[in-house]
Amino acid sequence: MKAASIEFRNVSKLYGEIAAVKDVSFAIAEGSLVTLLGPSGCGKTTTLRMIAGLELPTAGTIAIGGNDVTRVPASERDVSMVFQSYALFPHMTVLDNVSYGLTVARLPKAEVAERAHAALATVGLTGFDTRLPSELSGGQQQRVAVARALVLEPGVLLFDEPLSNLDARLRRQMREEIRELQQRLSLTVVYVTHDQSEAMAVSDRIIVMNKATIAQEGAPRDLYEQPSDVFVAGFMGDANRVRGMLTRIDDRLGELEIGPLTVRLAHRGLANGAVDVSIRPEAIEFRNGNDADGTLAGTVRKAAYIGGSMEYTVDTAIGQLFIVSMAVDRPLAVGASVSLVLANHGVVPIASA
Amino acid sequence: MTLGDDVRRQGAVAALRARNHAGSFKRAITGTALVLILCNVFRNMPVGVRAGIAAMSQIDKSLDEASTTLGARGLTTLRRILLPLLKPALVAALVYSFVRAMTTVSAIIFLVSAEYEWATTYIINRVVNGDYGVALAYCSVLIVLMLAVIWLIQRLVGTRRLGRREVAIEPGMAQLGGTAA
Repeated sequence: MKAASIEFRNVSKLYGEIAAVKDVSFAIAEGSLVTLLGPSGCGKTTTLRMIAGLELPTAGTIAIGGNDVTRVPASERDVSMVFQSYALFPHMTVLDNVSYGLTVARLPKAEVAERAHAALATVGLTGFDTRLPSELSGGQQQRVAVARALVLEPGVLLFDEPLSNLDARLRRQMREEIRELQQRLSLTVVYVTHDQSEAMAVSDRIIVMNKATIAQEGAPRDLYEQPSDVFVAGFMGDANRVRGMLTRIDDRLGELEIGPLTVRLAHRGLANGAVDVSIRPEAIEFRNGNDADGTLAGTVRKAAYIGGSMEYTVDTAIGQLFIVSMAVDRPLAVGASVSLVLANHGVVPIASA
Repeated sequence: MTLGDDVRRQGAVAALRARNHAGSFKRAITGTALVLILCNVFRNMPVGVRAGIAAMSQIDKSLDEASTTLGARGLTTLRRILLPLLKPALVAALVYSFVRAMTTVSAIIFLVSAEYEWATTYIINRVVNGDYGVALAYCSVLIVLMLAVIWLIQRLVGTRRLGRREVAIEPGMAQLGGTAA
């Protein structure tokens, strides 16, 4: 396999007046797994389909492996795709499905059989050759789709929401398998999803898209801990959004006042004054004893036991806060008065929009 | 001679030529097997086209795209993916058209009586009698009547409108918990 890099330069895709993708530029290194993440309608699937050649951009250039492929048709591109619906050919057996790309390329029969069997073995489906897709479970169909895409040894492998038709348990297993496969064969993979936990689990890098443009791009940890705007903060996991006053202390640290609470944190280059603040639900802690100085008083509105943790909704002077607490053995009752403090991590100031 | 006269004259000549040409085609196929075949082909075409469209719309569009990304061009995709999947519909349309073509003669011919006439059989009878003028007049009335009824049905029933899906709502942080789907 010869993994290829991908580069988008100022790519736009218009449908009439509506921009599905607006002036998007990014580069994906060969051998890495990059996720396009965003809400539905943000342009991530259109972007993926432009890499495959199923959509042609209205403006801009696309390069795969350093070659300009902007006007190259899908059938001539060194790219394979795993579709959301798997798109297995229902009238062909598993083996015929996997062999399809090779027979279309008119390879000798012996080589076709050998490579198809090897691809089926890669995804753990040896012995399923003569089955029809309709006789397979969802997870097995998914594997056939992956084998069919892999068998051509493409420079780039695309996944369009591959796990959305699977149940939660299988989803976790399949995403680990996809990641493992990508690492073992060092493939360039572009992966589309709207599920941030799925994106964080499999990706080297994540490109968060919103309203046809890139909202932020980076490693999963950077996006979660250092979101560039309130959209990214809210999309990458749960977040409470409140207002605060930032005062710089030195060229790195600042003091953030949120109601009665004060925290020291990196000011991220923001100016003194009012800022938006993103607070992760696990960054809010309960303090024993009421009305202690420097704590935030609140009343528990909702409490839910979800197994490994408790989820609370608490009314406070700075607004309603969503809190996740690991203290499941000492649950708080609805209506209880509580005092809250902030942890050092999980609180991020963001420039006011 | 004015320019207008010239254009008129040329137009008349062209029309005459066209009529002669059409006449020669008419003469060429009248009374041959070809005209019978053409008649049945055109009469049964809607059945085949309808069956084909219905079956085609059942096929997931991504099958086509999957074939394309696997390196197949249009014709290969048609031959190896679309035609095999359309086979049942094609067979049904062929059988139906064949049976209809072999037994073509409207049952209505046997059902009309002196009391209740049917427009088309009435027209045939006029043609048999050599009353071409009356037959053509009836044909014209029939066409106008059908156009009117079709227009009326369109107006009453209307066309179906299917919109594109709505573009997503932005998941705001404003609501608690964001939208970690």
